[in-house]
Amino acid sequence: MAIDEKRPTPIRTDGTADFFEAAKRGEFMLQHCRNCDQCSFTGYKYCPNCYAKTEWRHSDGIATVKSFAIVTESSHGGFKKLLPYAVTTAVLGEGPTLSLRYDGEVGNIAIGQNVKIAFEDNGPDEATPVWVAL
Amino acid sequence: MTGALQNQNIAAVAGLGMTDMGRVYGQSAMDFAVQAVALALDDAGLDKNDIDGLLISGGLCSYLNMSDAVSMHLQKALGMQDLKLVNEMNAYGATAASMLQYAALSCASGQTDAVVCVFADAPLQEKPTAGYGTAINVGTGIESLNGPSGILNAATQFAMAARQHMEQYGTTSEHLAEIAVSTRAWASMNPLAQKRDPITIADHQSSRMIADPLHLLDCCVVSNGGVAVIVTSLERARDLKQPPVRILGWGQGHPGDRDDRMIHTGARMSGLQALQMADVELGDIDIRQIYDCFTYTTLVTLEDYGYCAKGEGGEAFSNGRLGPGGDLPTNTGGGQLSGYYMWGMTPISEAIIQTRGQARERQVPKHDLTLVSGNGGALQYHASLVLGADV
Ligand SMILES: [Zn+2]
Repeated sequence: MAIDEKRPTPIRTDGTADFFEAAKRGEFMLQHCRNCDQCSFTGYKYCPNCYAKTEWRHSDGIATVKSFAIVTESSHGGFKKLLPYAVTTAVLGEGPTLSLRYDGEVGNIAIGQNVKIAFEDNGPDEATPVWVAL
Repeated sequence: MTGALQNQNIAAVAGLGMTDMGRVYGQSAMDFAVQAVALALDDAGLDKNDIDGLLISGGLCSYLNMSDAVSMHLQKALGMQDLKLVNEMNAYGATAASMLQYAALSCASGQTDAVVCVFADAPLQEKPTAGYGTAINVGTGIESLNGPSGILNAATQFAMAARQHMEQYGTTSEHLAEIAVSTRAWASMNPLAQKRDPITIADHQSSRMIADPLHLLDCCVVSNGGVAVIVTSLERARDLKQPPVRILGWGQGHPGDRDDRMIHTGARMSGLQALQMADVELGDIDIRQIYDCFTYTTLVTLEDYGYCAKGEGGEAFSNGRLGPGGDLPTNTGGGQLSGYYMWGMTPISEAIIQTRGQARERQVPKHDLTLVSGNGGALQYHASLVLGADV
């Protein structure tokens, strides 16, 4: 398998078009429900709490690391060059939990530390969110 | 609980069919499914015309590239017509235990006489074009962030859960190694197991890292093959070839996307229901067959079933307690870690073999009651069964 094999890119849907549009600008957005004031990140149009329609709203993308795994082998060429990389689950200030790759030294990551969303520029493809050190 | 079905002698497993499993090539999942059903019929001493229900685990469809329901194809392949129950189900690894529950209910209600529950899969290729489970980007929208994030297999998610457990409760990699070692010790006595050479804690510790903190020996094997189980009424099962394996209790617990589901799993809810329905206590259980996609899964499931306080599983399941000769015999066929990976059919098949008393060298002396666990996805799903000998 070629080492330059392309990493997968996200696939936008009707309900996530606004999210990926903002991502291309480097802005992170979460779903917000005006009816019950909860934030969510399902990508479905309706609030999982009260079923009212949600809207995408700016978030600072700051989160606290809940756990991480250091991936040390991959048969996918596109990820081989990133090894070892840390997949990190972090809880956003607004509530939702999100698992993304941590873009940084794996030795620097720890449970309880704060991280922030950044976006990888994938050219014409959708931008991919990653965690970076705060 | 005082459910109407509590402690009723309603249903039993009458037949078990297991194909060759592991690196078996040249057969599709459909081929394995048909063979497994043929073997189960033979095992039960039933004719295919005795079967009037067919339940299929969703695993079968993933590699078949089929646009319409798998049940349509499998029913045709099996030459079964005018069935009273057909469906394809998917709660991933919890499917198999769920299928047995619905089959038991169907037979208990009189809807069907005998239901065959089928799982088959063929993920291994002789000349792989890509690593198993590595080149995927499943889903769309938010779900499709997993692939680009490098979350390409379950190991990544279970590694994060294991690390969290370690951080919160002081569990160590050596604790997980204890589970790998005990499970392999059972596998060494099972001719069906894919990995039979005994291992040590040191072997586990020196096995290569897959997703830190999980080593290779924390992960299950991958298998081609198929398993079919025939469920009928207890009364009917008593007239058939094999000793009946009674389906005494069951439960399900599906956390969905609850954030702490991989630390506090659905095993708690589903296990309590199953024990209550069977009208037995945890202490009455002789054998445990746990869905062990990773060593961590055994640990967290046994914790949630109540074998120790939450977080104490590392110490509690060490020192060979789960292994041969231990006081909590668990995954007596080598589980999925060392035995074979037939999703939820791995724990169920070994439970049937042990309950019947057919496990030969590895037979647990007291095998009246077995607790069976099946979990699915990254622990979004859980189903439990209490199976018992007809004593
Ligand atoms: Zn709402």
